[in-house]
Amino acid sequence: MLLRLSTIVITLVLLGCQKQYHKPNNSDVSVVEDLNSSNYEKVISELQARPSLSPRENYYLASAFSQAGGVDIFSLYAVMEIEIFHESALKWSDLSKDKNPYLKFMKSQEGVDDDVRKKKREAKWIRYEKQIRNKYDLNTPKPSIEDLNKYADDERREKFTPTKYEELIKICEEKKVEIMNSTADISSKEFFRLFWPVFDEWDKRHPNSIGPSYQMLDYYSQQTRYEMIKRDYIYPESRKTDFAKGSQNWEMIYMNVLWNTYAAIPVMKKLPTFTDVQQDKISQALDAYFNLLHEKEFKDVAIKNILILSSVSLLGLYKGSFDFEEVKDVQDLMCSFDPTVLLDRYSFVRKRLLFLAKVIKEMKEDIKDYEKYKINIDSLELLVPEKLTDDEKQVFQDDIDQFKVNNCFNS
Amino acid sequence: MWILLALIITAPSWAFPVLHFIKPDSSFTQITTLDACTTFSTTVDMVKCNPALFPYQADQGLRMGGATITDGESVNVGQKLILDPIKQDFLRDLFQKRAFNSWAANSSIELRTPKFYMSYDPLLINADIFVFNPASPEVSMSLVKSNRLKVTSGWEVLRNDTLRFSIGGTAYYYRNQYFRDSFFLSDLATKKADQLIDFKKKNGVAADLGGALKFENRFLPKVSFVVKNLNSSLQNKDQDITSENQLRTILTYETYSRLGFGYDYKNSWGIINGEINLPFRDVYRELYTEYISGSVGYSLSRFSTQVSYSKYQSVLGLNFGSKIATIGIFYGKSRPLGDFSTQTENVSGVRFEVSL
Repeated sequence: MLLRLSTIVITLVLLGCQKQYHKPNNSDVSVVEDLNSSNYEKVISELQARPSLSPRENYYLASAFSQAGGVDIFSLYAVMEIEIFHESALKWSDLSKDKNPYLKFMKSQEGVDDDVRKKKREAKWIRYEKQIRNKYDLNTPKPSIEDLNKYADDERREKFTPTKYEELIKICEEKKVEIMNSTADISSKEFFRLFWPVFDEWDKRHPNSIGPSYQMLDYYSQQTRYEMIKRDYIYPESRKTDFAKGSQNWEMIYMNVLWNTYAAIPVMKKLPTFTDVQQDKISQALDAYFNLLHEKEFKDVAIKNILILSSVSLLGLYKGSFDFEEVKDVQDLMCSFDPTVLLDRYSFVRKRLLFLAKVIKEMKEDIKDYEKYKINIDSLELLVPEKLTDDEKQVFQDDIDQFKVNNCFNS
Repeated sequence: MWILLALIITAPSWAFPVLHFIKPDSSFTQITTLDACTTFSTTVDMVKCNPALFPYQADQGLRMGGATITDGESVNVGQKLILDPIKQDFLRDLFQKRAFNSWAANSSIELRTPKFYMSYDPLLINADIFVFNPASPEVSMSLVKSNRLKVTSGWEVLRNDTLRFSIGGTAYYYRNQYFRDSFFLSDLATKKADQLIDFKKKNGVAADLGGALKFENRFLPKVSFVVKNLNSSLQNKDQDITSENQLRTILTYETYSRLGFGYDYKNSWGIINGEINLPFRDVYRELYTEYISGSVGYSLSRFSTQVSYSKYQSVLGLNFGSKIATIGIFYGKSRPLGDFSTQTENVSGVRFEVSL
């Protein structure tokens, strides 16, 4: 009896003295379950009520806003299905390979030997020079001193010596170089107008002398255009563009965008469209992800999610600008572009672009060649004004219409 | 005693430790008693429950065995996830109803002699996967694959008219391959799956120690002490088991200990065993109140059955045997993530043993 009693007492003492394991409180357990059940409103209200948020809680808040904005794995299923879900998980071994041929090409061109390319292009230029001149109507010959003197009286003819002819040529050549170095876009009709100041310059130097005739200016305007076309062909990297001063030329980027749009048609057709309220929630999600850009654990996923959210948001707007039912090939895609939707919801487009610029600035330490793009990024705010005036909208619409007229109705 | 038990059962809840029915060296009795078998000195596989029961065993020969989960929601989800393209409805169910999935199996070849047991466990697997946050899917995994070479023995150190006390131990060399971390689904865009799931390898020697106390007075409970996985390299840190993005198996690979109180009753109709088992963190450091388990077993000749219960797990097992082989079937129900998730799991599995 004594033994039994002592055993029970020892047991009770053992258990009574024993410390219990107390796990530290983890209040995010319910948050995770609510996120999984798409109870995002509850998550948002719960997390916003907290005085401060840990990086992970901030990440959950961003995720909840993203769900509220209509962006989650369920709404993006169509995209995921095309990219990975059409295969079983056993075949997901490598999803990082490039699928865009233009992107591949752009990457493959990074190591091209410029000198070899230049020589090949020069040879081709010589071979096709005549046809090129005919195509652009650049066949006016260079006027000689005799040509310029042909209709002048004797007195003026005597004053117009070969030295003065050489001087005139020099002025025209300088003007040509100036025009070629200009960063402004020049249409074919503008070349002649740009040479007009040569008249004034000559009159100032030599009043009542034979000067540059229309024939001379016509020759130089054609010659300048010819030189610029030739330069752009032989040195494609020197082509001027407002937004691509890097190693890739405008056409390549344009083709890349075009290809991406074309390849994304099946995805875009299935992408959700977002209401303005949802777009605002997406903005809040982006802001929350922005706060994680310097958190080691979440930096990568924050950047990816910012790109995904911004892309999906912009694509939601962008897709409204195309009539996918009409599209049969890449050219149809260009021609079906209707900017009305983009113009109507311009404020969101601007917001997303400026946000991306802000992210790039924030991450400049991690971006190779940031300095190269800095000017473009800094000037983005000027390029995308807060509001578009009716005139600006009209100009944009007119440009698009003109583009369609020029390119979409060819036989 | 009851007041005390009532107090500890209402203790605070935890978050993210994962419970398994099948552990690396689980025998059929261990599976079906939720390890509340450390005082069972009458079953064939008692030494696995507690090495201190070695002096009670009389079995000899070469045996080969294995256990696996054969059916259950996790098995179905795993098959769909791995083998089929993912459908939208399945994806929704995965996040909202079946976010956590797990699977386990073990195997062993064991030589039993009167002096020691020696066994080789060629393949031990515990696999857990949890997906969450559909806005930015994150995948948390605990994948442990290992093999072990073990030696077990035990001695009776005291026996008199009042009590019988024995001790025993298992020393084992292990090779673990494991991945216990989480990654974002978006990482698949830039990395291959095998870069994301980067298995670590660790070798080492670890040990289990046990003690068993049996009173001749049948009203007194049998008492057992078992310390598992001393010197194991897979330990659970607080920040891991309380984190919501890290899965950690509990009472499986890390060092933990058990205190068991058991009774048995023998008559001509068979043997009835019962035990209450209290698990502790590390070496009797803190009591895991939520994993206290109780079991009752009945055996007659080569048939045995057990039923057991704990806060998050319950299981029923039936074991049939012959001279050559035994096969056990178990049906279990659990909340494998405890209070972290309301998700429940119904499983069934088998364990077989063959005498060679």
